[in-house]
Amino acid sequence: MLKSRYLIVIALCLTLLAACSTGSKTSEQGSPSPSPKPSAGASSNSEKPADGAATVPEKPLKIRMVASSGNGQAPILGTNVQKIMEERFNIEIELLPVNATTAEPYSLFFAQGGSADVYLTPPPDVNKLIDQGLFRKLDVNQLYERMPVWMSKVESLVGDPELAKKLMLYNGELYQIPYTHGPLTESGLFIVRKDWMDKVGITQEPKTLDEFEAMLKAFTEKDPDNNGKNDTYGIHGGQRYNFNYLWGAFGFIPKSYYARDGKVTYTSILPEYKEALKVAQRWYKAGYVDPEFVTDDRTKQRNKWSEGKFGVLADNAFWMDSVRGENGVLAMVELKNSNAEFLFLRPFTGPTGLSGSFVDFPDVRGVASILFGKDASDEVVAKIMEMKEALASDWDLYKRAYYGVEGEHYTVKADGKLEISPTMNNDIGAADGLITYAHMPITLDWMKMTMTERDELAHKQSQEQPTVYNRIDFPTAGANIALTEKGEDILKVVDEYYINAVTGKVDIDATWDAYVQSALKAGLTAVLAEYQKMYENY
Amino acid sequence: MVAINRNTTRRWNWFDGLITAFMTIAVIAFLYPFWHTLVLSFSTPAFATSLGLKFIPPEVTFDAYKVVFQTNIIYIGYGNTLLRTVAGTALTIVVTYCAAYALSRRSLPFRSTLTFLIVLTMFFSGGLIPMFLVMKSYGLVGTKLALILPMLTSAWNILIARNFIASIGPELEEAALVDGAHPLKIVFLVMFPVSMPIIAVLTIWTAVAHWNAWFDALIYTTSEKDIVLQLVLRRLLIDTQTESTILQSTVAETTSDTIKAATIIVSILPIICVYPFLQKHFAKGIMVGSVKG
Amino acid sequence: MQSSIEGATIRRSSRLLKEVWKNRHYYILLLPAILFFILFHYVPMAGVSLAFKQFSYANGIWGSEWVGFKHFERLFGSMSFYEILRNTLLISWYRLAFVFVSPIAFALLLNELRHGMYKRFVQTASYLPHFISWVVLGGIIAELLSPSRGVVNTIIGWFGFEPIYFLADPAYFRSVLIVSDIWQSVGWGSIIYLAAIAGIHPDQYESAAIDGASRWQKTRYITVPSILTTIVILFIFQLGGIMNAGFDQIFNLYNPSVYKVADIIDTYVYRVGLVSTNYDYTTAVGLFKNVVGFLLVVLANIVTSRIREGEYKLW
Repeated sequence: MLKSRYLIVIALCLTLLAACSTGSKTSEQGSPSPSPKPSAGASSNSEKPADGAATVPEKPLKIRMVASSGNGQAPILGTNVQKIMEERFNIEIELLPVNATTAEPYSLFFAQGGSADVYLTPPPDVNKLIDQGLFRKLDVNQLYERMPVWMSKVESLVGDPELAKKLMLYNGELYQIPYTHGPLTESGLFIVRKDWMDKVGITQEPKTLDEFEAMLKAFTEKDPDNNGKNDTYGIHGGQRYNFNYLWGAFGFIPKSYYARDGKVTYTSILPEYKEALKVAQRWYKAGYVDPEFVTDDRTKQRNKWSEGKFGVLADNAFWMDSVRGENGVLAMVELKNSNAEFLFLRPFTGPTGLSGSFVDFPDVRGVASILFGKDASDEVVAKIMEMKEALASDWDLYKRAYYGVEGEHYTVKADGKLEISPTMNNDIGAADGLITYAHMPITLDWMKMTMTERDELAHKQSQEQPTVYNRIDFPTAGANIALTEKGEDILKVVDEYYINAVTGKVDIDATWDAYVQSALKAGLTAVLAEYQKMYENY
Repeated sequence: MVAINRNTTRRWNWFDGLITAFMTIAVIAFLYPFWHTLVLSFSTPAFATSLGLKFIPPEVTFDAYKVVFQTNIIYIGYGNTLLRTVAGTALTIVVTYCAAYALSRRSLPFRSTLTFLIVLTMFFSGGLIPMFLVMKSYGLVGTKLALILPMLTSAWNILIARNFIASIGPELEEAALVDGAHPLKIVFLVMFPVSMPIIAVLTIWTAVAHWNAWFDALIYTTSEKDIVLQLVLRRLLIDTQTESTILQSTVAETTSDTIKAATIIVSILPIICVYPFLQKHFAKGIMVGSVKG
Repeated sequence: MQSSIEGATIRRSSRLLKEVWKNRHYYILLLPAILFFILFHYVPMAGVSLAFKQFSYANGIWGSEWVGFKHFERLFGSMSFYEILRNTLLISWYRLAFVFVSPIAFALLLNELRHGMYKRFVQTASYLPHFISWVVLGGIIAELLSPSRGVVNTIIGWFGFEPIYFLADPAYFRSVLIVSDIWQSVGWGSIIYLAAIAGIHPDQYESAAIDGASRWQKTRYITVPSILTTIVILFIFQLGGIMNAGFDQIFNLYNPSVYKVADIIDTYVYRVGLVSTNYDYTTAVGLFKNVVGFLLVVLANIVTSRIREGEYKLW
């Protein structure tokens, strides 16, 4: 009992200690008001010309920034890359202590009335915040004039310059410097176990839906892993890309809004979807699909893939890169089976000759698109545009700001390519200031600087093969209110029916009409009506 | 009077055998998730990604732990978490116990009203944004106190402690009052020692809550120096980020299961070590040296 | 006449003041807690008004405009509302009926263990699952219940039955929820009951033993009544949380196959929140849940006030 009293006394003292030590800190941190720091290279206050030359060194432009670092925390102040940026562009960066990677802290920053000059990544619910007047408008012409290389990269990633222009506006105005990058615009891939194909005697890459189905059948029934047991499946069937090319073979991706012949429709109530569902159900009932796809999460799916439990994996080229190390989806199989070989299947054609792979409809107002505070000056906007354009056009600057220092964070191989150091991680990168300032719409020509030949092949194919859009296939000026309110109700009906249909629990023909009615009642009618208006007016 | 183990004089019967057998099976079921996680934390990636339950790893490796401890920030996290747990728990015990004791006195005027007002706080709250703005107005955002004060006490703890104290019975208190002791002294010198079971429980509950807390640190702390253990560990788990954030970084690795497991073990182990010291306070009755004629 | 009423009132209030002064020490003990509740609960509580407003970052909480019951209408008007409400109540009811009782039974059984060290070992092992998050536990449960590899289905196969895909079967899913919840929480939950049992005076057992009471009788007539106040208060608290049917567990175990039995208010609102963060909507949903819980607690308090001279009432 005496002991516990001592403990309490000690704890009370500790608390007082904590309160005292942090009491002095509150005056330094937490408040967004700046305390000027002398920047590394630029002279702060002098207006004297240096060595009699014509140029007059100006005062560096102070910019208050919100940025997200690469390791899930608020960005670190005074990093090497920050100093490089300040020196090169004659600016003084004040990084606000906001954790812009996580939604709640970023939202709270605005809730408490915080504001900055530049936001290197948009906050959650950016449309609402724009509506509330928190950001300033930008000039579209200035954007193209000042950032030609950046915009050409964005256009090539989106695929269509006119589309890119429409996508970057919100309610007809420009608020954000558009951003997207390679991995986000690549379509999903079907990776096939080539060694299995060899074992079951398939010599030609399947080009039609029927040939693909025959391959699945062989993978399921002909013991392709040669272990005497009937324990393999053709395809897993779960996760983000699930049956990918199957949908493309019918010309759509489920749960998306398409504009067809001037009318906006929802793909999950189209007759084509019904046909595709029947195919998926047929595959399931025949045993080509792993029945546990319903509950397997991504980790479980990949574990099964690494153990050689199914022959076709639907995934994104990003996860195949050698940079992923042992966790790369190809490396994880090779680790356990040195005979494994892979083929990147191309989208096969369906009964009507269509084909395509899953890709998200381009979004240039997402992660790393740049906004400016409503009181940001034109100089700040110009400076940031200059900085970002330099990153897009100057390989050496980008290399330093994104990948780091040669010898420390990466080494250069004989063929000029970069090899990221195996001890490299996000914390080391954040300490140097990597990634934080460097987001730039990277295209394959620079992406392949860190890739092996196989990586390059996967990425190239993902970028070039025929695609079908996910989510939506036409640009919109603003947000669909009915969608935010009814979207989940619609999805619930659709997701339930999907699972029940594929797993054979319902007769698709018999229940189809009831299902469509159910989706419409859940709010689909209102959403479609609103999208129709938005489509016609943009 | 010493607490007697009243079971020593009785022979084992079939019921004892039954419970012991039942408990043994239960123990295996209870231990498995922990064992599974422990095994995973020491496995190679190849074993970790294999299917089926895990019992014995074919090969033991410390790689996952190396990753967890590779940056110094984890030690800062441990330090801050330890500080908030000790300070926070001690303060909570004092405040909660005092309030519980006061509310256990049936003769206290307005007892019912005060209790009702306290119960009300269990149900109605403004939510994240109002709480944050209030904390900001108190000047607590960016301080370590923000991690302790909001958890100072709760209706739940006060009321459960109140009931426990009420069940102790008035004899002790009356005896002390008759001896002329000051009421405040009675609380700490008489009632407190006798309430060790509930104190132990409150300590466990509060300490664990502080130990596992991360969300308050996420929104209230602004400096790396104030980071807590759970935040450090969460950063290792890439899965807590969205896919589009992951796709931004060329060096992003998927978090292997081994690292996930190691983070769990690293945060549970201290709790397991400290627990036995608290457990003895309620594992056997301890009305020691109390009421005697 | 009037003066005597006034006189009575004055005497009553002065008597009250005297009572307050007599109990001043207790108020001092209460003071820190009261201050805490005012500063950290009642002051922010005004933010509940967000449930009736359209939150605007630019205008803050006070400046945001009133929209009345718009958010509630959105919740009640959803086609899913009846289903999620029904699931929430039903699952909470199952938890009350089965999961609530299990730590009590477990504590009583633990109490019967002969060997002190073994008892402490069992108790320590029993709380470990509480610290394993549902993310991990979900993976383990999926393995155990796997229709192709799981232990449970292997055993079912010995008896000649077909494997059951528990996690995808609406008929079995809730049972999985209850059983796994007991598994995870029984040990941790028993701690408070063990503490309550530890507070029982051993003399009571001794005199019962002298009177020839059996083990079962001791449990029934001494142990259980002594911990009844703890049981009742925890039950009332559980009742207050009836609208929280266990988000963490359900989120990590559910899938669209079992939405119709397992989708609760919290999981539904979570999915809605993935599209856009609506603090005002989530505040409204939270308020709705809490009002229901609170009313139940008030009801429980009225009921317990009538029994045993209010020995079990909350306030």
